[in-house]
Amino acid sequence: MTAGRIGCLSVEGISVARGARRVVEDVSFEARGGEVLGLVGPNGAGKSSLLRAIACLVPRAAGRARVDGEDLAALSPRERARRLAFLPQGHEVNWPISVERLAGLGRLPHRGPLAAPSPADREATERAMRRAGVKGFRDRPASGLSGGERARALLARALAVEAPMLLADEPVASLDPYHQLRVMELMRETAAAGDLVIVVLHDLALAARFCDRLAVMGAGRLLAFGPPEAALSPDRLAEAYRIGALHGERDGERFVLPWRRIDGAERAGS
Amino acid sequence: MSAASLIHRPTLILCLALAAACLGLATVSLTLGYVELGAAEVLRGVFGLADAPVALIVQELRLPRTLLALMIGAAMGASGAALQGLLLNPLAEPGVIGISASGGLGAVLALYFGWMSLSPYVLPASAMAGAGLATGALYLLAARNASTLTLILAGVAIGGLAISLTSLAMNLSPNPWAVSEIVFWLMGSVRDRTFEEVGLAAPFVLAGLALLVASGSALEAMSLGEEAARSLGVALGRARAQVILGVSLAVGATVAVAGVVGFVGLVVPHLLRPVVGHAPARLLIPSALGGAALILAADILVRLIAVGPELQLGVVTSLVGAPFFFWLIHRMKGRPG
Repeated sequence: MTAGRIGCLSVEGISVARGARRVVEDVSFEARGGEVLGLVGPNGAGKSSLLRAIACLVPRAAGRARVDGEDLAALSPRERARRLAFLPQGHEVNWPISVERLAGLGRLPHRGPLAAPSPADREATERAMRRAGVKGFRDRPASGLSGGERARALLARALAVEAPMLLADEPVASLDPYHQLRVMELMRETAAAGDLVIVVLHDLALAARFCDRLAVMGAGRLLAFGPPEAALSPDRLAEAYRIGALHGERDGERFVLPWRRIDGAERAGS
Repeated sequence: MSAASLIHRPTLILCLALAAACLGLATVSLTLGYVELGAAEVLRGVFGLADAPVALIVQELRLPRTLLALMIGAAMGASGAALQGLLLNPLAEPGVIGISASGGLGAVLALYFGWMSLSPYVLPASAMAGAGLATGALYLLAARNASTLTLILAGVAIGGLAISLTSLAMNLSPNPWAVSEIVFWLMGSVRDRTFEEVGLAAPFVLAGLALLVASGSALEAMSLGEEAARSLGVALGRARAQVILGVSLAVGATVAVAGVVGFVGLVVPHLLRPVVGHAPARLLIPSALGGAALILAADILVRLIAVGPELQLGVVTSLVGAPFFFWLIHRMKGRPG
């Protein structure tokens, strides 16, 4: 992985419609290689839809996503798959294939439909399994894994693509705290190598600590975009989430701890 | 890392063993018949090195039967494996979910309306169209988040419709001789076939098998769900069309020349799946070889069991396959959807 494989992702006025309803409305931002961008917001804010729209997995009603000037939608599916690894929210694995085989699927965009994995594919798969910490159970069937193990096996699959962009939809959702921290550190490492990581998160503490910048969404719109301290300011949290949080700092790192609900009357009075 | 480590060794060994089994069974199959011939004689006959009468018997009378058995088995085995991958359902099989019956209906319509007089290829074409319509309809009915049960029910409905329309055609047939001919042919057999039938089916079976084998990596990606598969660069629409077309060609062509031979596509992939590590892409070629071996063995069996009239191949595979199907359902009961 060489630094600077991706310069800039520009999301330009993306809207996504589901039926007559717009679930994402005119979202624009720019993200750079080398950063972890967190996509946060309450349930139904349109985070997952936006992520899918960037990855060209759902049709857009408007807008486009360009990487260093190149429209992602104009690329062939295979070429796009080499530029952008996508980790979906569910943990779907329909056959009890081994963890190693599962991780190796991340190499599909790099080989022909009939070609066997090359030594380079093998090495990338090994790297991904090591980074995701699944080498210890590489031969176990995916169906026999715990929720956390399976989530990491699927993360290994996404890492094996070795694309300059990683889009992950709630990658820590079913993990215990140890592995949540581990996966977030992994996201940081990936970004440190020059890649762009966009990650949908519900955990504001993790978002505040591990993301360079946050895109806060609410009702399909981008409410705020910027460094965590600005994006998760008390006013923003009240507006987006209807919560108040404890803000603090420890060892030079900032944390946000959701503390109480704010209902309508209280907000109007404050 | 050596190149050898890139190949899944158990899969390779399995393929070699199954290919050897096919060769051995094909040889045994060729030795069976009214004239007693040894294995060596038969093999010389195949390559035209034996005396003229022996070569004639082997090449003209026995080879077509053996080749058809191989083709049917390969078509059914690979189709079963591919359909299971496409529909994410271990119970999918051309016979079980009505694709074979629909191919049969297509063939019966061609016979019934006398379309065959246009071209001999109308028969396989009509059977392939029937199989293709059924596969496509099944996919539309059941592919979206279908549970195992929904899929099987949709298949049963399609199969039931095909069978009742086939019965209707026979019911309305003015010619009772044609009816008994159709009934017998629908039971599935490779008896008394010629190279004409082999030539009629072979191109389509081979094309179908090629499409199915080429869909392996797409099927494997689909095991992660639609979104993940698409994010890996798999063109889902094209991959699905490829599998549906491959199954239609392979199943339709074999049904047109040999009737309905069921359950092979269910039994073979199920038995081989653990050996290949459950990977959909690795399962296709072994399933084709295993299906071929199984049909060859079954066709040898029907000739060895002397029970008055020769048993029909399709009857034997169903007698063995149906209990296996029950056992599979019983085993799956504990599993969700």
